[in-house]
Amino acid sequence: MKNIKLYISILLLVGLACLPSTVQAQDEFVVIVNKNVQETTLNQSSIRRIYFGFTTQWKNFDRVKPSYTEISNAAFWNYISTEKGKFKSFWTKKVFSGNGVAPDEFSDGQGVIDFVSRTDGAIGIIPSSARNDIGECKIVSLQ
Amino acid sequence: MLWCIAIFLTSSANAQLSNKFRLNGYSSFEYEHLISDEGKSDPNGSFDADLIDLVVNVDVTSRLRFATDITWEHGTASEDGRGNAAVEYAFPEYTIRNWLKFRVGKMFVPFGIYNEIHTAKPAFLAVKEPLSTNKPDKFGADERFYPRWATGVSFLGNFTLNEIQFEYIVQVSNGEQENTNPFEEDDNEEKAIATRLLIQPTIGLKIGISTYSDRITELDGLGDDTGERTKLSSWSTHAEYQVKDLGLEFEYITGKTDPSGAGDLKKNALEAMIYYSVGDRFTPYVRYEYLEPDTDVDDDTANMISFGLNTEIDDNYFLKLQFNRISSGDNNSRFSGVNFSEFQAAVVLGF
Repeated sequence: MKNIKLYISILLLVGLACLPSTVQAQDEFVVIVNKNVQETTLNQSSIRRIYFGFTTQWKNFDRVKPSYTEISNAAFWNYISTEKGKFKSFWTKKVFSGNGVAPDEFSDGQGVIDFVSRTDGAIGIIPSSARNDIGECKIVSLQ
Repeated sequence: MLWCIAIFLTSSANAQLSNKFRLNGYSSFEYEHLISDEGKSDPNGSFDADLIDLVVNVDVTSRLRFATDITWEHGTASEDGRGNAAVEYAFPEYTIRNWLKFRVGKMFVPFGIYNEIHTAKPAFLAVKEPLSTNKPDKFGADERFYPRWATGVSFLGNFTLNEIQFEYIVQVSNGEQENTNPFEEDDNEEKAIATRLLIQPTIGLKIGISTYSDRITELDGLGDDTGERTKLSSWSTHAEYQVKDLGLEFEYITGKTDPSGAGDLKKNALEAMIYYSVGDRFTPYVRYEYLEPDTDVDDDTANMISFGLNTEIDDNYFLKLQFNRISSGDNNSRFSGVNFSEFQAAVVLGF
């Protein structure tokens, strides 16, 4: 019986660890967009494509302008399957070769909120703790 | 003045001047010293104010982006005829969809890993781009596999199929020529075509295939068009792989030059590198380069093995230290079988 309980506990732990990363991610950061952006939900793949500069247009053809904070947490980098150093290295190549414009980096979440508020097509990553202070920005649901 | 701009920009976390205008750039300062008694390197140990580049992006409209890179190399002083100033690229890019964009203007030829970043020293680990694949004329070949730049039209885009990321570009241009400025007019009707396909099957793996073809005008003794053409064709395959802190890259190029009145010349080159990042600051690397300048000539190959350390001193500010060992066959036109070692260093900044 003891063994059965142990196995069940292990299975539960493994199951929790295997929950989709969106569930964990949404606890630690929030994705916001400018009020004119039509999209209301985005999935992990589309967020990754936006932050790596592959998706450059929204549905309404506004240019996508991604932003993030200098202190973006590890959950966000995990979510887009990278690390901050690799992300910056990727963009160094992309910008200097003429193949894109890097996401805007701000020192804190408020900088991201201000940028997303005033910029058509902007999308930003902010800490979950700032979700009640986003002004006219919209929160995007993560699928 | 430029340095004032650069210092101003690097002092802010982001070089954004407005939502539509972005200024970035990079600089490189180098040192090279021949260690052996003889060899094609710098016996004096010279400093080189290698380059400063300003990269400008303007979002003209939501669909239209203008991009340019202006470079000043080797301490440009035009009054004294020293150094070089150039437009690396300047083009508007119009986006129809993510999978279809157009560029017109002067552009880098999109070939392999390095050509589009060959001047952007903060964008790669080693002191210089690989000579065997990117500057084979400095490694014993008669000419390069493809030109650095081209003026013409490109269409490009990216898309995802079954979670696999694809990027493509097709460039049609005047190509390379000797008697007129290829960025102003073509000296023949045949256009150069460059293509590249990048496939990213998993997050850390990128595979690429590139091609380049052109017809070069053959000139007579007076510099006039003979009506004959030399066919130039090259293709390459490359791969970049990163897992955790370990990285690998590999590129192989083969090229053929086929003059109208003589036999063709085939050449091959490869480059391979392994690196490992320690604490996001120190990245030791080992790189191997090999070139066979003419497959019909014996003992003309050249190879280089490099051991280096790339240190990120501050954000996007790097110190590179590198030791090179160059070996060649007696018939190599550049090195003539004289094997030698050299030391290179560079301090590079990106902002």
